Amino acid sequence: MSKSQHLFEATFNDAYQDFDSILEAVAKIAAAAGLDKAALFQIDGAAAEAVANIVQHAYRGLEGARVKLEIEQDESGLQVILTDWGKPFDPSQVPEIDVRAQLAAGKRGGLGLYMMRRFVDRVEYGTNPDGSNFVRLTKALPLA
Amino acid sequence: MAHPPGETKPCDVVILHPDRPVNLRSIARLEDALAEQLRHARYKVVVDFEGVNRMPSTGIGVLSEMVGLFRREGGDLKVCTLSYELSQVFDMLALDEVLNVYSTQEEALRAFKP
Repeated sequence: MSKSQHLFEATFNDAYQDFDSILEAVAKIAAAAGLDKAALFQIDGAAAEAVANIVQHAYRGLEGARVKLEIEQDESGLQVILTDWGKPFDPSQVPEIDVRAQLAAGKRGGLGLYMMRRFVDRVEYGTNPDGSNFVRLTKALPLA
Repeated sequence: MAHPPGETKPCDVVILHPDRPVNLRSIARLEDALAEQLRHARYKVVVDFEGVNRMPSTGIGVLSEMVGLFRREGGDLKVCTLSYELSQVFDMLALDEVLNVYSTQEEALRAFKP
C-alpha cells in the first residue's frame, strides 16, 4: 500500500452555492501538484461532474448539500475525494449508455458518469464506516 | 429573474452568452433563457460560448434536449466560439452530430440567413 500525502481538506455547507469554490480549490491544488493544462481541464471536468451528481442526485437538488473535499497524492496520482451525506450512489446500477443515441434523442442522464470516466484514470464510489458516501477521482501525475 | 444577457440580431436571431464560470446556477439560467425564447416564439438562437472553459453534462443535456424543441418549430439552436477545452468535450460526445457548431458568431448568424 502506497503512502498517501494529504494535501487539502475542507467542508462546504452547500455544494450548489459553493460549486465554484470547490472547483477553484481542486484547480489550485492540482496545479501545484504538477498537472499540465490538459490534465487540469480533465480533473476540473470530472470534479464538476461529481459535485453536480452529489447536488442533483445525492441531495436531490435540495439546499444544504454538505460536501467534504479532500485531495491526496500517492504513487497512483492525485486523488480528489468528495464525501456527502445524501442518498448513496451505486454506479453498477447505471446502465452503459449509447452516448450518441442518448444525445440524438435529446435525453438527459447517464452522461456524467461517462464523462468522469473519460476525464480521469479511475472513478470509485463507496460508503464510509459512518454511513457517508464518497467518490474518489484519481488522475495520474506526469512522470518526474 | 435575471437571465444571461441576450441580444437580437438581424434575421431575428437571439444571441445568448452563458454566465462564467459555468456552474449549476448558470446552467439553470441558460435553460431558463432558452425556454423564454421558446415562450416568445423566438426560434432562432445562437449560444456563444466565448470564454467558457467548462460544460458539465447537465449543460450538455440542456442543449441536446432544447435543440429539438427549436427545430420542431422550424428554427435552430446553434452554438459557436468553443474554447479548446469545450471543443474537447464536444468531440468526446460527438456533439457536432446533434448541434450545429460554428467557429465564430458571424458564421453562426450567416447560417440562419435564408
